[in-house]
Amino acid sequence: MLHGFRQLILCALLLGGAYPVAADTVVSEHLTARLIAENAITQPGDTVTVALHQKMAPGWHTYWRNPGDSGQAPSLAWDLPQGVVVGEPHWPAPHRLPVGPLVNFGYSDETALLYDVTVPAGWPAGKPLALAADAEILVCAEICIPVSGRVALSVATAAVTEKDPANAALFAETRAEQPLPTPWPVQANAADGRFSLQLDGPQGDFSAVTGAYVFADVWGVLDHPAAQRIGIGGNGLSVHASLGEAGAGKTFSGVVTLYQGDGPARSFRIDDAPVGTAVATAMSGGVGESTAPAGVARLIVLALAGGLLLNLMPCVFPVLAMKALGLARQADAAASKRLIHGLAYCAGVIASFLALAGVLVALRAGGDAVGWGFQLQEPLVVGVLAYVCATVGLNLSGVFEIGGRLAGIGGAWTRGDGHASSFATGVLAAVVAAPCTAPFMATAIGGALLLPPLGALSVFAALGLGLALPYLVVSAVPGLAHRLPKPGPWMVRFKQFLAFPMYATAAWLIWVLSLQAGADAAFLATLGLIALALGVWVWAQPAANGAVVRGMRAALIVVALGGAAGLLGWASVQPGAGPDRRADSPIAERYTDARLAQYRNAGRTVFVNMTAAWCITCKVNERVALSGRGFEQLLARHDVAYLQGDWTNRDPEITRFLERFGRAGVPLYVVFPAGGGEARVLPQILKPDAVGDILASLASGRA
Amino acid sequence: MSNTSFLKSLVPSLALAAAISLAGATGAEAKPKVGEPAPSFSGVTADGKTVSLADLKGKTVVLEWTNKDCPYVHKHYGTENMQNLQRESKADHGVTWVSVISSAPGTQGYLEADEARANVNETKAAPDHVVLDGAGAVGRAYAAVTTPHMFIIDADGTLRFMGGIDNMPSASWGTVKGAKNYVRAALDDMAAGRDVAEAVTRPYGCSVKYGS
Repeated sequence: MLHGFRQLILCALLLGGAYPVAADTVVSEHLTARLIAENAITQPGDTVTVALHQKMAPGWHTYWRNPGDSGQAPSLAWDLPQGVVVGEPHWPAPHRLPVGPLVNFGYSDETALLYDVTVPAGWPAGKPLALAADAEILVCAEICIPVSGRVALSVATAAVTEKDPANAALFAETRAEQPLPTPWPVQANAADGRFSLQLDGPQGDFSAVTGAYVFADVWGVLDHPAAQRIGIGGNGLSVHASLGEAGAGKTFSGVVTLYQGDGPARSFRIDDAPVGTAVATAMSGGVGESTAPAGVARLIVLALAGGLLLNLMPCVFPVLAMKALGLARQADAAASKRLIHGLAYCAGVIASFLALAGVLVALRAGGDAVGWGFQLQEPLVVGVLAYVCATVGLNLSGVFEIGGRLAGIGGAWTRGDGHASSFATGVLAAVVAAPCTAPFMATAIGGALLLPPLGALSVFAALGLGLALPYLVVSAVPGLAHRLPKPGPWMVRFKQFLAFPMYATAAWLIWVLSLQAGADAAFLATLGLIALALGVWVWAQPAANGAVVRGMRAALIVVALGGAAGLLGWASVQPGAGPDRRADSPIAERYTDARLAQYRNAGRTVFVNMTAAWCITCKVNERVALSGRGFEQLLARHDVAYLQGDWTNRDPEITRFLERFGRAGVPLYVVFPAGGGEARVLPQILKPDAVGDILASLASGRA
Repeated sequence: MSNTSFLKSLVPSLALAAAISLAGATGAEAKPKVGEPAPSFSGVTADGKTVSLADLKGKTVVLEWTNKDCPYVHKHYGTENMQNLQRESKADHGVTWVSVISSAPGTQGYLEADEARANVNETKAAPDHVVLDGAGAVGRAYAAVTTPHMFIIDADGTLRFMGGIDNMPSASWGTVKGAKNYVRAALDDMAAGRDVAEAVTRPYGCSVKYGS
């Protein structure tokens, strides 16, 4: 370090490394800066655009107005003749410059800041206008060098204005790098350390976008190195970022850049967008380092619990009981054999859940607005599930056996080659579990679908593990299998009894089908079930002698099963949209975004209930908390508008609404307070006075 | 298919499923926040001792990230601004001053212990400790991004101030005089028992030269 005044000056000069070459240029080892005018001559009263052109050495960069975590924006202290006005600089779209764990914003190679210089009207034409400025520009590579010096330019004036062809190319290039005005309505939101920017445009405008990044004009609004994720859906594109140390303030200004894979990036200018508080969460695609949300572990635990509870649901319980009975028969078999069957079952369950999750994730990544339960929004899938449940019921009733020559459920294992059948049983358990939801499951899945693909799949794998766990534990722990009741005649009766919950599940699925595709469809599907039962019964009859009888038998099977399939297909294309479900709740109005906005603008409290016919939790909640005279009176007393959204079939408007609150499935209960304010989301399992409590607390908060 | 071979093929796939389940759950680092306990740290000083935040509890601690070759650090040391601030803080407020060098070996500002001691002598600086943080652990714990970057921790271990040293984010030496010094203001606020008026300010300077 040097001491002394003279050495101080010398040090500063050497550090600046700048020396005037010509009157208008600052040149240093890594940066050349000069002023360039777009016009060759300018008429007094007109405006001429002047560029501060910066050319950097390879590997060196200068900064944007918000330099990011470190660095400094170039500054010009103008020295102007009387009456000459220079506007604020127009900054080209910045680029991200990561430096280890930091991120800066700026330009490499070369860039130009544009200034609008207005020649006063009274300026004598022909007299040159001398512009000068003390420039301080920080240029960095791994180290930084502040360059300072004087840039100057003489602007010729005359009776006309003419552009300078020599500079045309540079100005064209520079203007092309300026962010465009945003063509879509913009909404910014900030809450809980998160920030989101919504561009409300048609989905087609964003079809090629693979990622985006929001640059705030000033330091501290956004966390610069944090990942920014995008979501593309029915109401356009949203970019999700993290707030910085200073927070967002009332309005947001900055630049948003949309990246398009190998294609050109597009940048748009955002000026004073008002900042609200309703931050949604993103779906897919990101720019920057990936940070796993802290909630994934919690979602996995929830999924495990949900999977465990699924075992108790009427759709799954028969399958589980069937497996357990098989175990009981096997109590004397080798422990390793039991364990293998347990593991095969577990693998079948997890593989099925992962496959289902994979389909869901792929559909959403493709922009499809589907959520959990999507498998039940297709009439054909619902019909097939009904067939599967009925078939399992028939098996339990003893109409037919699996595996032909092997008698009884346990037969396969004692022969030691039933691994495939255990795996298949696991798949079956997952399939029949698909229409059911257990507590915790909906939360876990809803959260999972908003994670990146790996996180989402982990949660689904945990769900499968939870479902398979009880059976796995019993098959693995030596003593437990022995504790199960010993096989006996009671077992056959129990097995036959278990058929009935399966039939009940099939009946429920036919009911869902009736709501989706009409009463005709339900009738056709039921006929199909009967044909299926017939075909299965014929197939299960012992092999007959005689070619004719055998031929008849085969024909009957084909006709019956073919008929079942055909009837189902016919049912699934029935157009009828079922009886209007909303009639069930005479006080509810059908949900649309427009209606919600209308009521909110009118200053009323709005209660939104997103439900679906196949959602059992929804039905239970509605029985417990959302029906009856007490509830009607509550709504009337608080002047609450009640909107009900039916997601039995696909409805992108409802899917978007769910996503706004970070959910991917139903039920969802939201109260929008009168007179604006943050929406309150109710828990998924409602207590009888849940809505009353919220309304009361809102009323008292206002009073 | 024999029992054991099937078992062997099953176990890896189940292990994979379990691994996938666990893979999603990773922790996120917390950034320092004013009003909350300051991140703990432990580092080796230029005197060869180890110092940690717990050791310094009981007195106000100022952390100063520095890099002797950074033009912004030059501005404060060349004008004696930083040295004066160090002496004043220690005399008026009983501060323990810790300078931290988080430059990775081979990068600008990296110093061995003897070089760091020599630099302190040359610049007539007055830190109580100079922490050599070549691995960047202390820097990352505090999310230090620039040199200089200042943090003030009170006697109870609560973070009270973080950010830039003053309101003149320029490398020009002329901007030191007349700048509003946030560190001085924060220490005055703390001494008077007030909340720090400007507790989070924009840090400016060269980027901290973390290793990759």
